[in-house]
Amino acid sequence: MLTVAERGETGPAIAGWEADTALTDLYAAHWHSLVRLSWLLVRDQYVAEETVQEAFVAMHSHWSQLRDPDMALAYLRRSVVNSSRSVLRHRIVEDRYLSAETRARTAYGTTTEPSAETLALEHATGDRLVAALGRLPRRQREVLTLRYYLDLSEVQIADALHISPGSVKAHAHRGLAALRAEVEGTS
Amino acid sequence: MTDDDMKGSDIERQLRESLRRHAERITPRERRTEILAMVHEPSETSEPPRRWLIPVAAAASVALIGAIAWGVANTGNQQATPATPAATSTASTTGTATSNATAATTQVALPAYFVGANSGTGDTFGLYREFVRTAVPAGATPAQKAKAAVAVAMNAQPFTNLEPYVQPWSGTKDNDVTVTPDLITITLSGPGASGFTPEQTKLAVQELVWTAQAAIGQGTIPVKFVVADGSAKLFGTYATNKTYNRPTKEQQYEDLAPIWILSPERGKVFAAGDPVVANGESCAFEATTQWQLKKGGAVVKSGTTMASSGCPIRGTWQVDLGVLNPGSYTFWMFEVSMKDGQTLVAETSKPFTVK
Repeated sequence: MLTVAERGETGPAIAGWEADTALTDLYAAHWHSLVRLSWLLVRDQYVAEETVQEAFVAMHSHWSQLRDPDMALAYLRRSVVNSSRSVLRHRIVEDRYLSAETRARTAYGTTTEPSAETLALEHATGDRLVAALGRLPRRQREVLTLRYYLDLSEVQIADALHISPGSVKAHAHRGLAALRAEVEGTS
Repeated sequence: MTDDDMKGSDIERQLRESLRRHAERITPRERRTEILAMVHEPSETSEPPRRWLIPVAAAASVALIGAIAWGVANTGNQQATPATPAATSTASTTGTATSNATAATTQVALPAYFVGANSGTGDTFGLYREFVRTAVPAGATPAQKAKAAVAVAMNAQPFTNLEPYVQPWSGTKDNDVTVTPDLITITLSGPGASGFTPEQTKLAVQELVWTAQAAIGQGTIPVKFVVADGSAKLFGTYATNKTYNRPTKEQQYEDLAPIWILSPERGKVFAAGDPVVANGESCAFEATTQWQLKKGGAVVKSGTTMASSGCPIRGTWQVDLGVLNPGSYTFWMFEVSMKDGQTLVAETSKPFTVK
């Protein structure tokens, strides 16, 4: 399977986009990955879809300032991360997140309960890392999710999180070290 | 490479794989229709909604409404695209749609409302919305978009084999649309066709109001009509010296058809193995409508669904149809009369394919 980076950051290069065309094309290329990114951060499929939907609407309304697929995608990422963070502050969702951690399934209920065999396999192949990721400080969690789910560069992560590339590197280092320690401690 | 590097590398590989597999546990539902509806609809509130404050159980109601018709784009209702190269446009946001510039055009999806029968009996009518790709000048102003959208709305002919739409504006053209912060003015070539019922002509006026306001996207700005031939009334009834607007939310049932299917979009093709989810909006008694999924005329699934609210407040609904075998399907939703439990008071359907 190709990574996002391998597929090309923005899909086919398109010049002279209009807002509707940009929205349609960016939706086709990035709706699923952005919803899943938000879901990884908030663990609520409905909220994730709402968050990304609002990001697309906002992108459309700001199109006159963007007018470029790279800028538009960066805008979407920033919106999704910021909104997901705001959502997560809400206690109800945070509670749901913690609950979801233990159940390891979406609160929206659109996935099926994994079988015992699946759970065993996931454990053996490192799915516990995701649970450990959820216990990291927020910034480390965001950096690692953007880095290893969307395969973003340090510069792109810095842009999405409004922090410096140096901070991205530091958070990634600390986060990975914490994950490594946790894995080694439980293996 | 040191041991730490190797461990870090392992961790990175495992984390990447875990996140990918974990993320694929959810299947994001399609929301393109809702998003396009939101970006084209005038906002009813000055504050953007903070949806995470809404209880999840009620949150489905935030989905805005609309029926998307990308497939209609090629059915002949597109405006001609001038072959001349780009030139500067002199129209402004609040200016006239009739710019003298010979600008290049671009295709955009514009919302357009149509007057259609609420059910097969054809005794009551309402507005249905379609998103139609049509040509507008590159960098079109809201007025230019509104002019294009109104032109689409006035031409129901491309839909007549697909939907129960009538053509009260047959033979009439929109000559011009102007927009100020306080008034939208639509100049028509004539007062409308004859031979339509009062309900149909009232909705014909309202379809242009809804369409222009949606295309302009600056709220419910009152709409005034000017008839180029000097007529003082549209359809001999609706005075041109007054303004028209959308009804309040509680009274939108007076204009909008009781059931809209947003998804599946007409003619949509789903990949085999992908779950199919139908959704839309309704204004039904006790929020309840019934549905059937037909394949080759045979009912393969059926059920009842409840919208997020009952009439007079319009609600949203969703039906999970699951993974379907390849084939051509029709999703039909209807409401039966509470008086006899049989008469259809509202119905609509959308064909789609799984392959």
